[in-house]
Amino acid sequence: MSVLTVVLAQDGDVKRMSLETLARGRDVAQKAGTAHHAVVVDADPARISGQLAGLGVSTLFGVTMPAGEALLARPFCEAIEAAARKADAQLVLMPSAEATKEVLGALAVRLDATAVPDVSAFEWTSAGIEAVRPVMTAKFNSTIKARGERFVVTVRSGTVTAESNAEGHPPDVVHVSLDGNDASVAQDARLKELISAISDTVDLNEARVVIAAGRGVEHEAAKQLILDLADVMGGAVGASRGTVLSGMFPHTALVGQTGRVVTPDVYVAIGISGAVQHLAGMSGSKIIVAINKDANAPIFEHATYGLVGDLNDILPPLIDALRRIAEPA
Amino acid sequence: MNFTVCIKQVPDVDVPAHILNGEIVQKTPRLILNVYDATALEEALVITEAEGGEVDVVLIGPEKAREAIRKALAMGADRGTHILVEHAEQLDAHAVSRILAAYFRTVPHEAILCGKQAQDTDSGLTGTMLAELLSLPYVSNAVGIYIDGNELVVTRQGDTSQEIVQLPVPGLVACSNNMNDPRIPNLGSIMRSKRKPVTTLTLSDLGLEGDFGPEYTPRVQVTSYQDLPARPPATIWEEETPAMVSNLTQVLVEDARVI
Repeated sequence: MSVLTVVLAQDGDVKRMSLETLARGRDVAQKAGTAHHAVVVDADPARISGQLAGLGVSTLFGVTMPAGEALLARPFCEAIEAAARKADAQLVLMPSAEATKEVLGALAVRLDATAVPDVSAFEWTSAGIEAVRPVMTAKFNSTIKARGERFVVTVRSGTVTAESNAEGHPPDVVHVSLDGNDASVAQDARLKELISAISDTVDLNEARVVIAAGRGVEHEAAKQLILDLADVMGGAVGASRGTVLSGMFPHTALVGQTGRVVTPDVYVAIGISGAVQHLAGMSGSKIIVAINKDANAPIFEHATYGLVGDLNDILPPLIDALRRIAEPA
Repeated sequence: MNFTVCIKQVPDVDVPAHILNGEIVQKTPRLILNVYDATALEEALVITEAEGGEVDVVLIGPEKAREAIRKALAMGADRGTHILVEHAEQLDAHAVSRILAAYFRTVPHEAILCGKQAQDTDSGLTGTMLAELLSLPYVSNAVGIYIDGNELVVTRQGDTSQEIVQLPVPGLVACSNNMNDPRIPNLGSIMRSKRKPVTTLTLSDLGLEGDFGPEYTPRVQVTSYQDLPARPPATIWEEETPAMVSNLTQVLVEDARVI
């Protein structure tokens, strides 16, 4: 019996949200007096091990799989299932991300486990799981009780502090192979094409700073101001649903209930009114700065700092001021 | 290609609501077709209008939830199936997916679509659980679908990329609402839809035991609802641009330390 934490990595780098989930997994396992293991599905699992030093992981189960295949639901789900069986996991923890949301339900069916999605806090006892998670398009929280023999829980990012003790040993890697003859599905989905986000920008989920554009960003010149501010602050670019539907920003930039949930240190909402669906994707940010010319925009009720004014007036001097500090002449 | 869209009736989350004694209270509660399901239905309608095929909808819920089936028929679905469960709000995704699986085992099906989550529970589990129970290939968080021969081509929004997936049918797609704007039925289509057939099934019609039988006993129950943790009140500046820029610069550099 053990706790198994699923590690997500991008091109060999462990994602920040995974470090957070590992910290949670270690604490939960310690409290329950069980072993804490991890699993990674990667082209080269061994390269992940060193990054888990000091995170209280006994064994890293590695499933070798090319990135393109791991993006498909079934192979990714089978990989986690295989590790969960090998680890005899009673609790599988995953960071809440699109990759894990896609397999949570199916994994729970395969393991006959109870699925508990998107928790900000939880307790695991002999009675089951008690957890806090959002409901009503993240307008409210709910406290839930889940019962069962096994559980699969996804943890919202930003709800626990990622920490590592670099002096610890990296976990041993145990390779898990898939038998490859799962015949339950006659014909499976196949990856036809991959459209990557622009690679020279910062990944939204990992960014400490997110600069997000809303409908107030009306033309190319204003869009350039967003990109310039992101550049000087080293931030990722996010977007509201309106600017994605209009084609000004790519789908990959969408922040909100239907896009990405981000929890950066600083979220700068520019020309964003603050619809419930958008708030659901960013309200966990530590500092929220809102820039909007409508003093009654709902975003101001959720902001840490609000600037009432036209973004086309405010952003140029702001970019200049930050640039002078970041790059002193 | 024929489509079956799984739909749910949910409280309208845009109606003002507050917490009273651990319950969510809406002054003027309103029940609507879950918007993610409406998007899935719209996509099925657009595809079948262009390529042929029929659209069925299936719903689990009490008598009142038939309104959501009627809405779907008015939008253009050909027929509806209502699996009558009076206390459906107590069902969790585990239970709902098993009831739906029992239903799909009794009817022919090609493309199964559903919303990627319900607006009330925010869980996002039913679709992928259903696919697994039926051993169907699936894609979730779809933002685009088209037909290619006997298969679907689904664009999925992933964490750092969009994945375009070739999906055989029978197969299941859980849809994001960033795919289309669901149509609003006009009076003519509402009138015409009244003649469209709705079949009512009970759990025993599906071979399931009565309320919360052993196959579909809920595993997750809500014990209370709370407001989100409050953020400290905002500091709002409404002054000349240079003053606001100077204030913000100071915050970013000294408090947030991100420069």
